Amino acid sequence: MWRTAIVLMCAVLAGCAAGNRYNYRDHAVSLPIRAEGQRILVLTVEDLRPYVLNGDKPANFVGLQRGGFGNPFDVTTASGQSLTQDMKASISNSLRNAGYTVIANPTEPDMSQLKQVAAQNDASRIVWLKVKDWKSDIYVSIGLSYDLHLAVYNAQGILLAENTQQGDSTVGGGKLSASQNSEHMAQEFSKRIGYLFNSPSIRDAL
Amino acid sequence: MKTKLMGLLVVLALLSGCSKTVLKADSDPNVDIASLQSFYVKKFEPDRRGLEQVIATKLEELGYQASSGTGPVPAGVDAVVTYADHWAWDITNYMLEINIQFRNPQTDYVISNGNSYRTSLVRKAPEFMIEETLREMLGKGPMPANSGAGK
Repeated sequence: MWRTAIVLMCAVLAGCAAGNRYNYRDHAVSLPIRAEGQRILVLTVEDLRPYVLNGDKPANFVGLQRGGFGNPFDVTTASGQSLTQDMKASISNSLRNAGYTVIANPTEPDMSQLKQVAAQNDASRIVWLKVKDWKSDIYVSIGLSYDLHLAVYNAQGILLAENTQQGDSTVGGGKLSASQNSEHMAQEFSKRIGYLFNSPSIRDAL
Repeated sequence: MKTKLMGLLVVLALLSGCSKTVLKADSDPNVDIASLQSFYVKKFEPDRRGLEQVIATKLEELGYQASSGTGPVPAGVDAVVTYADHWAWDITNYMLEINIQFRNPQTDYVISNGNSYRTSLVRKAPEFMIEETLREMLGKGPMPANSGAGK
């Protein structure tokens, strides 16, 4: 009797909170820039989230979904790939839609290697996004802590412009389904990346 | 006694989800929102309640030029307004959430985003939620105390 009750309670508490996956990869980013003429960029996204670097969370971790009594469950990427891979795919597609030719750096970012990739592909700019934090926490409302740093370098590795977006706040109300939460978070990501790119110095550098 | 207390805590925990309000807006720090004076509200395709007209009316009441529809964006507007509404049912149907965006008419880039979320026990009419969201986005201050769209 008690065992059944405990199993039922666990099922209720887990509810729709367990095993959620969010799709950042296929969401278009709203970018305020358009390429003038042929522009080739090297794009890299680096994961600097401390809880990933110390092994506490996997690289495909994107945040928490809480069950009935606030009990947390990890949310991961829908693709199964790392969050930074998904972010890179999303930003690459959006930059291509904006008229750029994008070389997505497939390896861990390293400036000397990035300069080589730029030289091999005749790229004029290196775009480097550092993800120091990106973690949603969804219960009745949606909390988001984020710390993003975008830098644009020329092909020789000289810094031309940089911009940051950071905060820790409620960004909406929790949705009725995981797919709606996924859509909300992808829109939030799109907006934050758009803000990063809309700095006058970044726009001028690109 | 202990059982009653536990029961009360469980009921409170379950009901707490019924009275949650989120009102939030943020804008691109590189954009001067005060410079926006004319808006075109683009109808959200699934919306059958005519909320695009409500948004345009509320913008006009707040002192801006606004029009709405499904057609192409009129020339000369400062921002295109898009939105998405979510509804829920608890005894009656009610608006759970509205998201409103201001977009650059040329690039479709989102320059400002507002969100009002009210669960069942703190529900308000769509007109109220739209106005409080627009006020938050445009820095027009909180809803007047005697607002008639409270229910």
